[in-house]
Amino acid sequence: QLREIVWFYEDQGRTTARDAELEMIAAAWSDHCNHSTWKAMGLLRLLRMTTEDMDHPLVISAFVDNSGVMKFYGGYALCIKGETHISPTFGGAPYGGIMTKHGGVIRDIIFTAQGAWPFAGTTVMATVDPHISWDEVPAGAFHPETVVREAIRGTHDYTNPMGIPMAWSEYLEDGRNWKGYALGHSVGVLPEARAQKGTPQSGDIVLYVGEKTGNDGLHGATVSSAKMTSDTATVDAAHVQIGMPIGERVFMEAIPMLRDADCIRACTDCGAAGLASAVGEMGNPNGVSIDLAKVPLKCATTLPWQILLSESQERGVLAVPPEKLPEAMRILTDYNVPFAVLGVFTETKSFVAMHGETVVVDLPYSYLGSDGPLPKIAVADHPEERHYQQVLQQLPTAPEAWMQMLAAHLTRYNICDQSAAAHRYDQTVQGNTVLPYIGGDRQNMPDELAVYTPVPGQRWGAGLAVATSQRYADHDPYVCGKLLMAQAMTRLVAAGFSPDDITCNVNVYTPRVTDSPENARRLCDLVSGYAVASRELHMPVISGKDSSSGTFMTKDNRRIDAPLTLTVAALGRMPDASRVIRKPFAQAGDRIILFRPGLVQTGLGGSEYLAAHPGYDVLPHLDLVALHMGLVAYHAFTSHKDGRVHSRSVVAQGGLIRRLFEMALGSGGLGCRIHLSDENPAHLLFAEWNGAIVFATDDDSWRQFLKEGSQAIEIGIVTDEPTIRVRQRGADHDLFNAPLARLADGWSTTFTEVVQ
Amino acid sequence: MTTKPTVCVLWFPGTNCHQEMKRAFEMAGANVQIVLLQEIINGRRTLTDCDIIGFPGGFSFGDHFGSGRVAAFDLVSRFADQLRAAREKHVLMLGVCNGFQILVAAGLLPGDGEIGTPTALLDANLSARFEHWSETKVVLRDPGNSLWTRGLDGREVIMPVAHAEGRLVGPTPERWRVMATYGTPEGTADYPASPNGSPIAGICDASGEVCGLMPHPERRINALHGGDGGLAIFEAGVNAVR
Repeated sequence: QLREIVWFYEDQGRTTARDAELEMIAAAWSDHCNHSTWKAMGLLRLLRMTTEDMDHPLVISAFVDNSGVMKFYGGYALCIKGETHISPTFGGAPYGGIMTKHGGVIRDIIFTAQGAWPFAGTTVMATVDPHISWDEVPAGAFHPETVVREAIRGTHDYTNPMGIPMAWSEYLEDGRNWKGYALGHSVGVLPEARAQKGTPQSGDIVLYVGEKTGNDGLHGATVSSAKMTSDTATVDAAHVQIGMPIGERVFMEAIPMLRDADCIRACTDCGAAGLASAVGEMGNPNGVSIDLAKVPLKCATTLPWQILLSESQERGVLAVPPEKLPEAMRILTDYNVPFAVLGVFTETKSFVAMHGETVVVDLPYSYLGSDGPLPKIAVADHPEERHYQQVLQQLPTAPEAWMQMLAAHLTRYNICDQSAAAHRYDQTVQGNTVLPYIGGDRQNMPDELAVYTPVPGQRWGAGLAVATSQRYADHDPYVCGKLLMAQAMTRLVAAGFSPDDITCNVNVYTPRVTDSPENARRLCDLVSGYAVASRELHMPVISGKDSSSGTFMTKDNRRIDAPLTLTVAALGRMPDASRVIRKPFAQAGDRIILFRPGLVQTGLGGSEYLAAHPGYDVLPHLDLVALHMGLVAYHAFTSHKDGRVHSRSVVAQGGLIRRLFEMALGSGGLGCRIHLSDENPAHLLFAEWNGAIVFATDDDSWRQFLKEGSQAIEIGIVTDEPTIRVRQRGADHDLFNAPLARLADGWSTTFTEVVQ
Repeated sequence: MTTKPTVCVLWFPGTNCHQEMKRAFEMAGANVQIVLLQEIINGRRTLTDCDIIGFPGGFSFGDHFGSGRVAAFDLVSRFADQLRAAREKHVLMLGVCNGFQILVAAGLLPGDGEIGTPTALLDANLSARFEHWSETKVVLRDPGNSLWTRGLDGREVIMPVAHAEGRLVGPTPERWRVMATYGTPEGTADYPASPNGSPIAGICDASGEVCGLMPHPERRINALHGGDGGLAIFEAGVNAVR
């Protein structure tokens, strides 16, 4: 990159460069801002082409704006964005890192198109198990308990004051997460007529809105794109900011007002690389000129390059038609939003930043807007396919041994009760929550999606379901991509959404690929997997983010790669949110049906079960075309006029037994009796099929709709006893009859003891 | 022809439950306007030009110095005369969550002191955490003349709670006029039936016109969003000024 820069300056006949120019180029070409890793590998193009080729009728904009936008109903649109904030969280200060994770992704929604209203959000964290002892923590890393507790504090200190309901929170563990995973989503609503990204016109005012600029957050874009070492927390601590949600909440109110008053031609938020990136991108390609001396400052002596690059939070930039400036200023004043006129959009085809009379940056877009030299990334060939023998431990025979095993299974960190965190997040603010993600009789049952009516007074439902794995890609990244796409979509369809009404946002977190051809190959496989899944499931990917710096270097130069991590967030719409199907068992006597469309091969690979027990097995394999057909049939079944699905769940992490437990627990007194077919009980109870629905109904027509036999089987009945009783078909005694209270004991402790 | 009662829902920077409070009052039959603090400051609106003032939930001014305190200080120091005039005019007041905290910090509730002189405090939850529960059982009570629970004595309403500071404490609890309790008519302080360690979910002043609630009735005004039990409170208030 440096060589390229030197050539440019020589070419321009300039002998010296300005510091801010170099900073700006470094940020613009960083992986964080420019996705250079993905661009170099052709992955961004693959995703864009896939979504374009699908030509899905719901897609309004994909990969062009701060978030992806899909059609809703009645002239409204929905938008979604997921953003990781890993380096500040694990390498700087978890509290600040998590706050600004939420602040940043919420701003992506607020500043989508000409402005949107955020109505839901999520938080997904993955660390090392917080129960480990201090001697196991490498120098320079935080103890995972600190990360988790501080992350919870950061989330509730940001999202609650923002007044945006939490739609999903999840805390996962894996022993490699020293530079772990921190992801947040935000989802918004906006008028369809204002849903396309705006373009500033020459003469439009560059209007800065939000909090003052300080020297906090400098180098966020570049530090986060580098690897984290034992020194990151001390040497680069200033790259983390501390959020101030009220500063953001006031413009969350004002922006839709400004939009509806035609005051916004285009807008974007200040995130990584601050004004350099925000104004820089808006001005591309026509040109823009700003005066940094007009930027409101926290510290009067902040240097011009710092003003330009500062990543102070809670700021954004609007392109305001000049005749609308007085009205915009009045609205912003009424809502207590600080603002400043910084300059104008021009036709000079260059980015010019002055500080008073001094030129700070003067660069042509022909150069600044280019990708810069992309890294050369070697991709390893596929290793020869190895065939492993399936090895599974002997299952218990005595009921007591079974119960001990089940109880231990449910206490696993990735499966256990995490409502202690969820209860710290407001899930009902805005008054539009139809289905919160924590429910059931005692408000401790994890649900699998959340549903809102984002347009007040209308029954149109918007549902969000999030699927994450750090394990499946260890086996096969390509299959992992398919499984998680299947899971996210199935969660929505199980609850009553049509498979035709779903789009998604995908986030990928990968260890460094620039120096590891093997990691590069795994990343390529993962992305190909979910790109193919997107086609086969008719679920377009409309937004997402890559983060390719998941590597921690210890003091003694040991490299710890984070697991290759994938999160798919499915966003669906339904015409009447009162049709949402609930999760808990509803009445004794309902038949329990296991519906596994498209399941080609079952397997325990990547499962929580095999993480706890010795053995080896393959990942489950799904035929996604068949899965999609099955989901269409299920939707027809749930929406036919007598359709009565009383309870539903999707079998994923933790397997069928986890879901039966949760459905019973949420019911407040009901249980179930299960008859296992001839399959291996370990597969039936613990396999993570990801595309399978278990549901309870008293409507016998499922047999016709779902083709009983091959993919849909009756496995049991809901009982009025709070136990899970399981017997193998034809056997004369139960494998086990486990009281819920006993199973719930350890399940409710694992996470709670960490955070309380 | 009777005119609809008018409600001003006050907005401070950081208020975030004003839209749903507006909808609840509208559904109860009122004309509702959201009034921004700035509009009162520059004299475009006054606190006396309505029948009811709604103080919605949120994090006014960030709540960094104690929930509702900065907003209360702002109100009292700039507009104590307007607050007094509104009380003399019998303008009803409903504070929910942060709105309740503002009313207590401003000395309007429990109402046994002067405006500007608080006589109670909504202290930190015993858990020392923000607590959100979507299905908390609240029992409404009428301590004699509460306009906000008239005819609702003993009614159970399931409502969300969402706050970090909701435990009512003070030197003269015997004077408090309790109009909502957690769990049972007497109220339970047990967690999580009470999210904060107090059995009291809401109180009103001696006139029955000013009331504050920690739970959120404005989030329960129709079946689609978990039930309409909260609507009755807004209807009682609106009907009282018809």
